[in-house]
Amino acid sequence: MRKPGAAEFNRREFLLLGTAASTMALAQGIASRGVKPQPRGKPSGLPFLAHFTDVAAKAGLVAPTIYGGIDHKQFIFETVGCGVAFFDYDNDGWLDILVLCGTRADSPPEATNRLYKNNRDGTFIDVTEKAGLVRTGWASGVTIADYNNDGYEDIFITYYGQNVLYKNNGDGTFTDVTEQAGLAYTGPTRWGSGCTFLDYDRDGHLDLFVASYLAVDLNKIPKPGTNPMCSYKEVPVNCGPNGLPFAKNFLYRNQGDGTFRDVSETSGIRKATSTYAMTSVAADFTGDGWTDLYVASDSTPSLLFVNQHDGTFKEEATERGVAFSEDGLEQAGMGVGIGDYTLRGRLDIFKTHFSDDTDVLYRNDGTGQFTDVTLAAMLGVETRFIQWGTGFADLDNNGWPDLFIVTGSVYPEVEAKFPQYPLKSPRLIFRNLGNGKFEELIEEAGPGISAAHCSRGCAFGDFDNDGDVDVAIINLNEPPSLLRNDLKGNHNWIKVLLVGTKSNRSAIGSRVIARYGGKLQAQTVTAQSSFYSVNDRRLHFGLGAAQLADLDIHWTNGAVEKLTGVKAGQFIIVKEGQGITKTETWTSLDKS
Amino acid sequence: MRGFSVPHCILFFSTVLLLSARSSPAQAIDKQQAMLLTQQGKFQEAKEAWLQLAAHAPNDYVVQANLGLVLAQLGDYKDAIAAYHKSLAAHPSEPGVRMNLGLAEFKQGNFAAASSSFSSLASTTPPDPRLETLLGLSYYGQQLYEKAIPHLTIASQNDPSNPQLHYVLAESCLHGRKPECTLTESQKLLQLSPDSAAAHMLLGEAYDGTKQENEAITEFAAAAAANPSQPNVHFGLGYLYWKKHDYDQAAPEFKAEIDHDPKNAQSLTYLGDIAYRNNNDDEAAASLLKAVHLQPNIRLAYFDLGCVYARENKNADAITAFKEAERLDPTEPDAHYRLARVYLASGQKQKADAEFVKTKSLHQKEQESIIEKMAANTPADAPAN
Repeated sequence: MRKPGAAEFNRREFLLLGTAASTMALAQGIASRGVKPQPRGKPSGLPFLAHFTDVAAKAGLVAPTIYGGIDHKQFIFETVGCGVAFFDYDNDGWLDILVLCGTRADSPPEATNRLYKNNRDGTFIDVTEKAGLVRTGWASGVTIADYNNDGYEDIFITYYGQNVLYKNNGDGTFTDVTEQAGLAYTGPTRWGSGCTFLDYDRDGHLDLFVASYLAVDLNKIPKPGTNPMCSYKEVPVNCGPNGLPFAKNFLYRNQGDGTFRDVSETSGIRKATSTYAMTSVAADFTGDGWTDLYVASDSTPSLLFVNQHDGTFKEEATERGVAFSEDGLEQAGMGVGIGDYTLRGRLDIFKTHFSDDTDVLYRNDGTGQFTDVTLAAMLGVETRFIQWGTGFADLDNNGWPDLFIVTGSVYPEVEAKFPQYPLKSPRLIFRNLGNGKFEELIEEAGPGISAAHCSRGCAFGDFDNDGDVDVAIINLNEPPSLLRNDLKGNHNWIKVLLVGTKSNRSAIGSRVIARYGGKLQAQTVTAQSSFYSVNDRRLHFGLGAAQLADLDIHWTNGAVEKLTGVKAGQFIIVKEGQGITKTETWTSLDKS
Repeated sequence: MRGFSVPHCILFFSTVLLLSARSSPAQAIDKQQAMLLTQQGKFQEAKEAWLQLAAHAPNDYVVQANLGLVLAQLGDYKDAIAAYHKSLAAHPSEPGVRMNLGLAEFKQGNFAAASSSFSSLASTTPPDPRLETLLGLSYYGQQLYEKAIPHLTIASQNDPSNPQLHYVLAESCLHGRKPECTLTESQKLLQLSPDSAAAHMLLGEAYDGTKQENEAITEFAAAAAANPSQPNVHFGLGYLYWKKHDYDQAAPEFKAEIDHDPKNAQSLTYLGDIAYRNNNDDEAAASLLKAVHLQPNIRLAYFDLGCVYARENKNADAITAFKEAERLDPTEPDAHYRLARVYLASGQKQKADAEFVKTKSLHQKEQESIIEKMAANTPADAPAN
């Protein structure tokens, strides 16, 4: 890719100029390098034990996620979609699901976010109204954590317009406390996008980072097709983000009394401008024990805010190798997965992009410097689809974290002319081969993977408490998918829920390094990743044949706790400073 | 037919615009003798005769005009032009002399002067198809394609079976970024010269310009079949495949071009690029090094060379190559970024930071420029729905 908007040379001009750029330009609204997939290697032939079936309808997740037009999308905010969350709002030990929602021109009353309570039998019940969460608007991202350390998980949702903080009342209901918390916004219209709770100053109170995608005024967005940023493959489509105004990102410091204070300027967050920010992930990427922030950015350089340990951040994505492709070109950063794919105890970053481009895998070298290893990892084989929600998860419990990705187009108008760019497309699994390389699986992983949808956010969690990783997925203008993992074989696992005492109670930003069978793997507790979504806060480690695991817990406030010889096949709760406070041994549910 | 050129076109016009001798009786015999020699094609003798006459009557416009004509016939355009100017100074309204002046200027390669002479003539004489042709060719010779196109269009309409005219018109349309016109004229050209490699290439260019990649490839392949040694035909075909990321098809074409022209630096560059993409670093480096030695201004060659060296951890060589790529086009962020990464890998943090700053600045400028363009294209009060 050359820069968006740059002229495309023809062959004769190359001859005349005697020079050429290494890649070609596409004048369009979203950055894509226009690359060809790298050749696939020979199939490994290894069996894949995970098998995914979409059980959403059977489980009662039937309401469609209304999000703009179906066959035509006039505005960019109809296209981007929203996130989904696995969390336990009622502390019953079973994952509930929050499904965000958009709306459309006629504001249908059924267009609302939905909270589904887990019935503990593989089904869910819609408790949205009872919980006080009915709300219609263009919801984008969600972050969930216990911001007031009262033992219940709270919800923050970004919108086109005013973002919303819901306090969990602990009785199955939520209260909109946006204004009381000091999060009301009165500036020009902004479009909230990624968001994450984090404890950047290690005071035990969760702060809040809120990204904005665009500063967009509906009356000033040009019509589809009116300029190069409003067409794709010469088909008129909704405009942007390229060409639309940038918005500001925000950091709010938790003052410990239920209110937040805007520290965007003093913290250095506001120094990063000119970015279309999307999914935001808080984690210790530099290994210094302090929480950093990575923000995937669409068609602009992605951001890495490195914690300076004094209440400020320095944006160093370019310097650390996680802003661009390996050639220093922008990509359409949307979803982010964080994981330790080489089992070296370091957090690597995977970021999803547009079609005709590869996703990117940045390998962490242990000092907070990253190297683009996309091609070496064989992840460049797939460029057909627009890719969104993603995550590292050990789907087959073999001890090596795999990659999962959901896909879907933003241009329903294009499919008619170019069938190779479908609106709905399959989910993708890249199984970790354990040698630094991945292998793409679609049909091999079950009908829930090969089914085509126009998906956006996805969340990873074990909704049926059977010791594997399931996936909840947003599908635009369709009900969500709930992919149940019917894992075969006898690989072991362990699941860890951290509860902070000095650190924030949700342990957001804490890291666990598990040692098992001669391997070690790092995982971190996040409050947003994938695409605008929230994963099960219980960290899941596949252990392969190992029966025991040692756990090093690096709490958010810097303390380190070590647990040795923890038995496989169980879920444990570890309270900061108190060790294991609860264990549960789970058996698989009857999935017939 | 190997190709077309402007001299081929101009051969259709002769510079035989003699002025009759109507001077004083004392010189009449000499002038008549000089005229006879001229008409007999004895140009060297005629030149001597006209020079003698000019020595006695330097301001005689007839003498200077005929002297100019004879000098032009002998290929001495510089002196011919001087003689025509003297003639026109004495008698500015003589259209034949101005035509001859324009032709001499054209043949001398001074297309700007020629177009000026022809324009001046066109403004004072009735419409003349020959003048349209000459004006079009003069502008074409100056690479003023936009100006050439209307004149060449009239000329080719007046002489529809002249392949040379269609060729220069098609080329003008191509360079004037008028792909539809390129397409139409190259198709006409191919009807007149179906076996012409140059015509197939032009049509291929037209298809390429209208983003009809497969059709462009078909035409370049036809050109290569018509004349495998046509300069740049294999390069063009290879480049079209390269652009489609079809490196397996592109590589043999670049090799074929190099077989015909071992000094084709562009083909060596792209061949090196493909080798780099295929992880054949030795082959890539060899090809790219040859390219930069032959033509030291190909940015892609230096950039790829830097990438090859960086991959092999030859940081010093990589730095040299990326710096050269950066020098050739400082506005492309990729070389800055790659250079920064290599500086960082070799412990030169300050230099790395400087290049990172340039990378970020270029991206920011680009984005701001796109936003400005979008705002400029957006009506102030025009809701999208």
